[in-house]
This record gives sequence, structure tokens and C-alpha cells, in this order.
Amino acid sequence: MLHNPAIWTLLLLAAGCVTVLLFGHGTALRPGRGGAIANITLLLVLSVWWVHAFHGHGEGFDGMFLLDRMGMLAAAGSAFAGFVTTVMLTGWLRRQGRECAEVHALMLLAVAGMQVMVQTRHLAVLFLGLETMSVALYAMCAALRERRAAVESGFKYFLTGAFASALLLLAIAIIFGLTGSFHLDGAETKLAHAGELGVIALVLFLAAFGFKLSLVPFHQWAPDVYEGAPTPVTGFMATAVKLTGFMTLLRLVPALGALSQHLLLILAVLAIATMLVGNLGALVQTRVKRMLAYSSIAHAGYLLAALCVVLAAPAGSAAAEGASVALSFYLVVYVLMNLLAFGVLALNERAGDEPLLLNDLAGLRNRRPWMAAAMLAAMLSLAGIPLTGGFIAKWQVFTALLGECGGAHGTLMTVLASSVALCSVIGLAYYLRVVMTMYVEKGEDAKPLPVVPFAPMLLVMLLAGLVLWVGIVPDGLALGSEAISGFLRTLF
Amino acid sequence: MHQFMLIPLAGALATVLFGRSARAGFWIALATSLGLLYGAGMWALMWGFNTSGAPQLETHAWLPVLGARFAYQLDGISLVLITLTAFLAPLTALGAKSAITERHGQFWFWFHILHAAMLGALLARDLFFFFVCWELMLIPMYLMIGVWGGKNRRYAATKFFLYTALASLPMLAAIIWLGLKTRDLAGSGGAISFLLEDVARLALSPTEQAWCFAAFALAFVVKVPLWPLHTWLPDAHTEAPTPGSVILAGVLLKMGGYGLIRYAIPLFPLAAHDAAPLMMTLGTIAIIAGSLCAMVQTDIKRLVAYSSVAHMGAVVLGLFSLNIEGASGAVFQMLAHGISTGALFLLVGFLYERRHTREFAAFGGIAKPMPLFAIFFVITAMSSIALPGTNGFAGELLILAGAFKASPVLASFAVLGAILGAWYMLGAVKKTFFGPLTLAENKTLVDLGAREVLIMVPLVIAIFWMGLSADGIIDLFEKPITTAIAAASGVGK
Repeated sequence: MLHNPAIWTLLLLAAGCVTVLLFGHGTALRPGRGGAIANITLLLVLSVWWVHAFHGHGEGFDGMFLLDRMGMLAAAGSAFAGFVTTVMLTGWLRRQGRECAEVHALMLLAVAGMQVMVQTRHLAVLFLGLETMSVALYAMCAALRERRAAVESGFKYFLTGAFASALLLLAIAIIFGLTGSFHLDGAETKLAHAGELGVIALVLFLAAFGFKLSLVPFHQWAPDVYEGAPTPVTGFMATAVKLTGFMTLLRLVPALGALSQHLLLILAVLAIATMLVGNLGALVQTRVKRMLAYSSIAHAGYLLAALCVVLAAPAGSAAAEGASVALSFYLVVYVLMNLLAFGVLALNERAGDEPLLLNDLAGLRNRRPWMAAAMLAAMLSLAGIPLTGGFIAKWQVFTALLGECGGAHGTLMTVLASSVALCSVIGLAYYLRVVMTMYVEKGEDAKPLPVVPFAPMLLVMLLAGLVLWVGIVPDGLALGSEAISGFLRTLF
Repeated sequence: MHQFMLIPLAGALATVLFGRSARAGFWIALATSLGLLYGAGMWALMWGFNTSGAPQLETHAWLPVLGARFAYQLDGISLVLITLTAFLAPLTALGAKSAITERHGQFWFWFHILHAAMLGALLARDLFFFFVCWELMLIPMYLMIGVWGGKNRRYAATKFFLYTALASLPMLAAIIWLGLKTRDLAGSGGAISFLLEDVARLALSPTEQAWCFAAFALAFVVKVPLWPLHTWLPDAHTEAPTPGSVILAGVLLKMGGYGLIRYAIPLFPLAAHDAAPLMMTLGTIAIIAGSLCAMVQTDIKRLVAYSSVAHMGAVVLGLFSLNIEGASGAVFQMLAHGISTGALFLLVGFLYERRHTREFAAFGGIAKPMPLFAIFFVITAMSSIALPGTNGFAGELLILAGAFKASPVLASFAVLGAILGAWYMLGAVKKTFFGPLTLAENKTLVDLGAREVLIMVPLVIAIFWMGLSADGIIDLFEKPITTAIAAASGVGK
């Protein structure tokens, strides 16, 4: 059992969490070490995943834990997002004049919850993971508790989140009642004859995840929560939560077998609504953070479209396999480019709670050429322009959609593909506006920007490099991490 | 050909490393462009010995996951357009020396990236690779207009970007669809391939052809631009800085025509044959509408922009005549238009740098203080209105001959366009250079300097040389064009 990396990462995270709470607090004279401890913990977690990533598949804890590449990818991805966020958050909190080690402890808890979520097919364990993650995030949103927006953000997230959890519990209870087990293995056949009750469970299940992943029409909370939370935390919510949420869906929904066919139309409608509302919402924003919040809703729509292909293609076929690869790839790129965009945003925010307006970025190219170049990479990638990861990701989703156009759900896939295309164009308009503001405006009367520390800047440049690298050599990331994995294994 | 693509990329890298100052950036750009010219010249020379006329092919692995390759092909059509690009590059760099007054390093960086993308699009034999280069051309041009443009640059740049990006989305879908189709080909082993020869092997039904043709043609005719989708062009040209306008008119618009003859017509011959009357009609309307619009402009640059609409309309008319005269005339016209319109934009730029206005009302009689300028302008204008002996003549004559074969009615309307062309161009020359020299500012205008003459002389030589040895140039691309239109023109025979 101790050979199972899942247990090691969870133990590491728990130990890190306790260490942060015990030794991480700073005083008025001495800055805290919470961030540093959290970073070391997350790096250790990442290295555990790297050691195991390309080896060892199996199960643990009576089949409650599942070890496969998909889960490991999501687990490592959420740990990476946590690492980037912690680096950003340390500097950001200091600039806001706050030292709160508990945020770093909460971050480790959230990552722990995510690790559990993506590596199980056991519904009760899934719920535990989801709650650990969510409760930690509610508190992180309200980290700057003297600010109204932060409290509103945390409270709103808590209310909707609790509601979603209740829906999920209800869904799990119904599925348990129908199948007599929390395990999804073998549930397929029993659920196939469940009739209406099964459909109700599925709809509840979907609504719960709709809230968590901010799919339209369950998205209303997202812009406010995203805006009120500390910017690095927003970045974490937009990336890691979506990554784990979609990975969980990708694992669970096809497992529901014949029932999931009922979902296809609902999912497709949700996907189209999500991308439309997200893109149109982003179009009218003047605050960069809110715009990115809506943009992340829009991307959830594209991701959902890829999930639809997984359901529409015959189970186990090459097309279904290709669609899940496309979805996973999109998720990885999505995480990279959003971490980058939110990172640049966090580094440019001044102390105080006034929001960063688009105009504050005016002339960024003259004032901070490298930072502007990094943001350019993020925006072009989000818009899906060639030679960035976003292009390859969108290309693969397109390929998956068009490949199913001749299949059983051809019309639906064609409609989905056309709306992805249409929405990408709307997306161009607001991503380009950011580019335009940074590169075209002179920004002579723009307010001064805060000083940027070295480490976060280095991380931003690294992320920008990765976003471009994935766009030029899509399998480079996999090859690179395989090489690192091999190297680490020689050490242990 | 891989190495050829590396030349502009090396220039971009050198600019990032050493090209911060205006001086260094310029010299790097000049050296890079001359390198391109040398490479293209060598190819052109070698082509003379390649009697078979078969295209040169080269393939490198790129993204096996997606089925994309760095696949190149060099045949007569791409060769002449690459030579045009490489010929204009050093002249544009020289022209940019005075036109670009700020953010030099950044400008030269995008200059190199733009050239890499254009050359990639001209050399590509893989649809994925082609599409990447096609989209990549947008960003540098968008920034060139947006950063170094005139007053209304934001609007013009965004309009340019949205128009062209929106129009290329159906093409993206069609490319992916075709790629997925190649999996069923014999010998493909179920792998996706975007290679041109694989896509050409697909047996598409007439409906499928019609959809694919519509998707490809939309992307290309917006770039050309064909009436009524041309409205981005006058704005983009008017706001773009001189080097941006030269590249836009000189090379970027040609990508539309190139795409039509390389992809849309040979890959979907049935649909191309069916669409030919529509395209020819639109081309003719473009000639007349463009000329009429040019006639009423008060801004010289806008006039040249509308004349581009008319000339490129003629290119579409020629291509869709679907006979060898029309199509080779169209390719020749693309070359001639690249040279003459590029030269016109450079000249307008010289004038603007001196007077900071381009309104006709601000000039008149400036042939007296600027005789050299006037000579160059008149020669270029003559080429633009297709005077015999200049390069504009051969192209227009062949296009009209081809169009007459296909549709005498449309051709007679197109001839009307030639007359209108002479009308507005001569009017512009008269308003600018002749008549009384009334305004005091104009009396002190300085004539062209050594650098500016150095830019214009190669262009003027090209204008006459192309005009006098047109058949030699057409020989270069006659064979590939015959193959390209063979299937489409053979429909129904």
C-alpha cells in the first residue's frame, strides 16, 4: 500500500499543512515562511508524481483509489497550479500588507482534495475530495477579510458551493439506492434499467458539477467570486478547479453507460450556452480580472464540447479515445495559459482594493517589454492563434468534433463545431483589445506599476515559454516530463 | 527550403538580440532581405535548367500527433511570387528607414516574422502548415497597422484582423474535414495527412466539393479582396505605415490569388467550374466599382488602395476564366501589381514624409520643385494603367483575352474598367504634379534623395523589364498553371 503514490502525496500535503500552521506565521518584524513551506511541499508532491507518472498503474484501498495516467496528469497539474499560485500569492499578499500563513495551509488542503477527486471512482471518496477542496477555497476567497468584496466573494462562493454539494449528495444517494454501492464499477448495467430515477440522479449530478465548473446557467456566481478573491487565488480557481472538475467528469460520465446518452443533448446545449454567454460577457468588461473570469467560462464551453464528443462517439472507439486526448490536452494548455494571464495580472496589481482596469495596462509594452510579451503569448493562446498551445488545443477539439460529424449525432456535432468557431471569433475581439492596449496605447498618463520581484517574473516567463513550446511541439511537454521522470527515477 | 525559411527567422532572432537601435535593426533587416533575394535569385536561375517544370518537393517531420508535416513545394507559381516578395523586402526595408520613427526593434522583429509567414504560406505543401502560416501573417500586419499607423489605426487594424480571421475559420473547418477524410485513402494506414497530394487524391462528391470550395474561396477572396468583401482594404491601407502598405499591397493580397490557383481551383474543380460565372461577375464589378471609388477620393493613398481593389478584381476575373490566357495573365498581373502598387505606396510615403498630408488639395504643380519624384510617379502610374511596354500591359491584355474567351459580355465591361483606370490615375497625376504651384509650402519641397532614388530605380527597371520580356516570365509558370486549371476547365467537355 505504501507503494501507492496517492497516499504519499496526501501524507506530504497534510504534513505540509500542519507545518505551515505551526511554523509559517510571520511577525511584524519577520516575514512568514508559510509560502516557502507550501512551495517545498508542492514541489515534493510534483516530484512524487513525476517519479510515478510513466510507470505503475493500479488500485489501492480496496479499489477506492485508482492509479492511471489521466488521474496522475490531473493530480500533477493541480499541484503545479498550486505551486505557481503560491509563488504569486506570497508576493501579492505582502504587497497588500498582509501576512497570512493560513492561506498557504488552505492551499495545500485544496490541492489534497483535488488529488483525491481525480483518482477515484468511488462516489463517497469523490464527495470527500470535492468538499475538502471547496471548503478550503471558500476561505481562501475571503483571505483579505477586512475587504467587502472579499467577504462577498467568499460568502457567495460558499452559498452556491454548499447548494451544489447538497445536489451532489442527493445524486450520490439516489445512485447508491439504485445500485447498492458507491462504486461506479459495475454500476453501468444496473443503472441502465433504472428508468426515470436514474435520469434524475444524472441531472442532479450534472447540476452540481455545473455549479462547480461555472457552466451556464449555473455560472452567475463566478464573475463576482472571481473578482473579489485575491487574484492568484482566482487564477487557481479558474485553472485547477476546472482541470480537476473536467477530469472527474471525463472519468465518471462515460462510466454511467447508457444513461449518459440522455445527457448528450443537455450537455451540448449547456456547452453552446456556456461559450456564448462567456464570450459575450467578456466582450463588455473593462476590468481585466472580470474579463478573464468570463473568458474562463467561455473556455469551459469549449471543454464541454469536447466532452460531448467523448459521449457521442461509440464507447471504446478510436474517436472517443481521440476526443478524451483532445480534452486532456486542452485542459493542460488551458491551465498553462490562464496561470500565465492571471500571473501577469497579479504582478501588475497595486496595493489597495481598486480593480485593475484595462487602461492600467496601457503602454505596458514600453514600460515592461518582457511582461507585455508574456501577456501577448497568453492572449494569443487564449484566442487560439497559431504557434501557441491554444491553437493546437482548439485544432484538436475541432478535429474531434468534425470527426464525429458523420456519426450517429452528426447534426449535433456540426452545430457544436460551428458554435466553437463562431465563439472563437468573438473571443478574438476582446483578447485583441488587451493586446491593442498593451502595444498600441502610449500609456503616458497611466498610473505607475508596482515593483516586480524576481521569482514570480521568472515563473511568468517560464509559463510563457511553455505556452509557446506546446504550440510549436505539442508532444514536447509529454516527452520532456517523461525525460524528467526517467531522471528522477535514477535518483530514488 | 527549410534553410530558406530560417533566413527571416534568424533575422528575427538577431533583432531580438542586437536590434534595439534603429541603425542595427535596419542593417539586420537589410542583410536578411538581401539574403532572401539572393536565395530566391538562385532558385530562379536554377529553374532555367529545370526543363521538366516539375515542382521541387521537400518534406520534414513536424507534428506526427496531428498528421502535420513541414512539406514544401517549389514550382513556377510559388517561385515568381517568392521572387516578388524577396525583391520587395530590401526596398521596403529601405523605405521603412524614414517611415518608422519609433519602436524600431519591435518593428523589425515583426517585419521578419511577417516575411517568414508569407514565405511559409507560398512554399507550403501541407494544408496544416499552410494554415498556420496563413493565420500567422495576420498578427504582424495587425500590429504594423495598429502601432505605427495613422490616426484611425485602432479601427483599421481591428477591422482588418476580424475580417480576415473570420473568413478563414470555414477554411480551417474544411482543412480538418479533408484531413480526416484522408484516413480512408488507400495506403494511408488510417493516419491523418494534410499533404496536398493526399488531399488531391480524395474523391469528393459535387456537394462536398461545393462546401469545401466555398470555405476555401471565402478565405481567399477576402484577402484578395474581392468586391463586396473589400471594405477592410481602404481603411487598412490608409492607416498603415508606408512599409506596411507596401507589404500588404505587394505580397499579402497576392496570397488570396495564390490560394485560389493553388488550392481552391485544382482541389475542387467541379465547384470551381460552377462558381466561375459568379466569381467573374464579382471580379468585373470590382474592377468598375473600385475604379469609380478611386475617382472620387481626395486622399492619394486611398486612391491607390481603391485602384488595388480594381486590379485585384481583374486577377479574379482572369483566374476564373479557367483558360490558360486568363489564368497566366492573372498571375502576371499579381506580379505587376505588386511592383507598381508597391512603388506607388512608397512614393506616396515619400510625399507624406515631406508634407504630412496626402490630400490632393494640398498639392498641385509640384513637378517643378520635385522633378525626379514626378518622373518616377508618372512611370509608375503608367504601369498601373497598363501602358504598353510596362508590366501592367501584358497582364491586363492576357486577362482580357482570357475573359473574352469565357464571357465576351463581362470582358467588355472589364475593358471599361481599363478606361476608368486611365481616367483616375491621370487625374491624380494632373492634380498633384501639374497646374499652377500655388501653395508656399510646396515651393520649398526637396526632391528625392539618394536613398529614395536607390529604392525607385530597381522598381522602375522591373516595370520595364517585366513589360518587355513578359513571355519569358510567363514561361516559368505556364506549366503549373495548365495543370492547376486543367480539371476545372475540362468539366463538361
